[in-house]
Amino acid sequence: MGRHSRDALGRHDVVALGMYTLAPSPVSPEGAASAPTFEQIMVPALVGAGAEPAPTTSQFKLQPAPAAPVRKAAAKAPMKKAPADAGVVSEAEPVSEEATAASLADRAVALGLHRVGARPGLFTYLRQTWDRRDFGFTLAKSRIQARNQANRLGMLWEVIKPTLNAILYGFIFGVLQGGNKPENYPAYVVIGVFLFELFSKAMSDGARSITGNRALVQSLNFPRLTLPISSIVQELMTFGPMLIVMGIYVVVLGERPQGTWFLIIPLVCVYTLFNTGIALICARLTVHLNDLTQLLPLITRLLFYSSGVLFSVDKIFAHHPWVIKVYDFHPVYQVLEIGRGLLLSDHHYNPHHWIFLCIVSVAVLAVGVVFFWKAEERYGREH
Amino acid sequence: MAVNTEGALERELHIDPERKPVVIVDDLHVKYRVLSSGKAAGAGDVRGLLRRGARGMREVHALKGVSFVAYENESIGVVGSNGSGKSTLLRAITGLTPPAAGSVWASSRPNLLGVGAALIPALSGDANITLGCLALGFSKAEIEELRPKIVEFAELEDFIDLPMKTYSSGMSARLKFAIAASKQHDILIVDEALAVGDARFRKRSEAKIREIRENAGTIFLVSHSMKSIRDTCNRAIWIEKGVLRADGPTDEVAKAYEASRK
Repeated sequence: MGRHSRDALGRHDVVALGMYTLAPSPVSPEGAASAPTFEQIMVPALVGAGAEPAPTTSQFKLQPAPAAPVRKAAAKAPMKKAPADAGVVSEAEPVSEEATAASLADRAVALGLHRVGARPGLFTYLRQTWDRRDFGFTLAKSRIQARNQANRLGMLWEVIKPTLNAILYGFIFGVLQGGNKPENYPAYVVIGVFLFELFSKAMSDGARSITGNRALVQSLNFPRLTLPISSIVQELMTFGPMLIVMGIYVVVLGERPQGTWFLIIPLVCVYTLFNTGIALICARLTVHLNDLTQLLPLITRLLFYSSGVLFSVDKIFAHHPWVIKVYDFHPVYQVLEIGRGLLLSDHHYNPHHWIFLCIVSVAVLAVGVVFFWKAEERYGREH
Repeated sequence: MAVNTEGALERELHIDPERKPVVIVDDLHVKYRVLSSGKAAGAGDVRGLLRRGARGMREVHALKGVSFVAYENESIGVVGSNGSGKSTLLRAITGLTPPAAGSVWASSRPNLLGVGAALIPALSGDANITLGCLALGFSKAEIEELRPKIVEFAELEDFIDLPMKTYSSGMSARLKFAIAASKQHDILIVDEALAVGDARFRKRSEAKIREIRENAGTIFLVSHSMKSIRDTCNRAIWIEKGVLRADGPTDEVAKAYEASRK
């Protein structure tokens, strides 16, 4: 048996090598089209080892290229493994004839299986996220609790930080601007700094919401949208007390509370739609390009200085009307303007900006949701 | 037993028409992109940095075309040496690690038995039970029902109001296990390292795993202990260097695997 097959294999060798050297060129396209499998070559070699060893020459004519691998495999294959190999091959042979990847998908669906990790449709996805709202909410609440426990002053820091910011920046820019300052400058700066804080936090925490929760993303199944949304909820929860403190500051700085002050609540709602959209976009971008996390503080600072937090655009750019026109389309600046218009008696804003802000916010949110959802299958891939 | 000697096992899958398949893994490839250590990633042109597979990045081909079909009521042990791709395979089956090519089909979403990542150490054990159960997909009403059972199983009645970071490692492992084990699954993936704690709790957690396994439809068990694979699995899969080396009855695969280790 052993001697027979060695003869057989040896002869294959010769035949294959012979064909390869004699007629290699005319058959290569066909060879490429129907690449021979290891089994197709090995079946005659192993199954028919004892009986009829010589393969038809035509079979090898079609396959000049794999001659060398065949020889290697045949030489290496120990005889005692042969029956097992042959068994596998003959079992699989009829299936491999017609089965393709596409038909497997069809068969799997017919058997009631679904592809694991497949991205659901947008509306199913949003419904699944809604079903997990308790998780997102509790996660936000728990993180605030955990963070507050770490510092002795706890929650107070949420208010102290922007207060110190407002004092510092207000003082520096107040001195620098001299007479170009807007009316009631301290209140102007306080509203600007506090409202901008909500945007910058949404952006930076949103950007970290997937990359910073890798372990969670890699161990449990839930719509990933829950994470950035949860970070937004977390911002809103800390912003509640900040809003009250902001009101107190404005009163202390000489304004009288009015009924219109309550319009700040719908403003924060619209603003949150915008922030959520931005957070979602940043969340996906940092997954693709982690370096963005390093760049984001810079971008936030750039926006801080360019969004009219500390100066009045109308006064600073009085000689460049086109710049003022550009600021009409600056969503964050419009939020600050509306907020000041609502809280400061001497400050006026164009009510049309409400409409602009609503449209932009809804559009940014829609873009953000779709953009984030499109990559749902990718979150969790290691970097 | 199908033994894979040269190249990949059959690329096409044979599905037994007599039995109900619950998981089909079809030519699954998984690749990780990692920064190769020691090489500077910078100093290239900017386009090179932004391009995928840029300079300094190395691609690790963790799974190279694995295919098999798992049927209802099977318990499948996955064996292989360290770094052979076992965990990658299981994470890909749960859909947590996206495949580079190929696909996984399942009758319901396979779940990993584990919840540690959702918990926050600064919070009390009680708050973490709520958080962990929500992460597993329970509703608030269900959690209130489960809470006493989880506390009892973890044996943390006296400490449940303390922050989890004050727990000993055994205590927090017990809590994590108790939360994770509270859920029933159709297709379950168990990492044996989950049997935790002191000898007594280990026995209880092993019993719990057995109970979960009996109730679940199909189980995948990863373990380095051939004994526990032999005890509990009726089928085994051997992965080596990202390739399926063998797939068949536990005894035969285990023998072949052990023979290769000597």
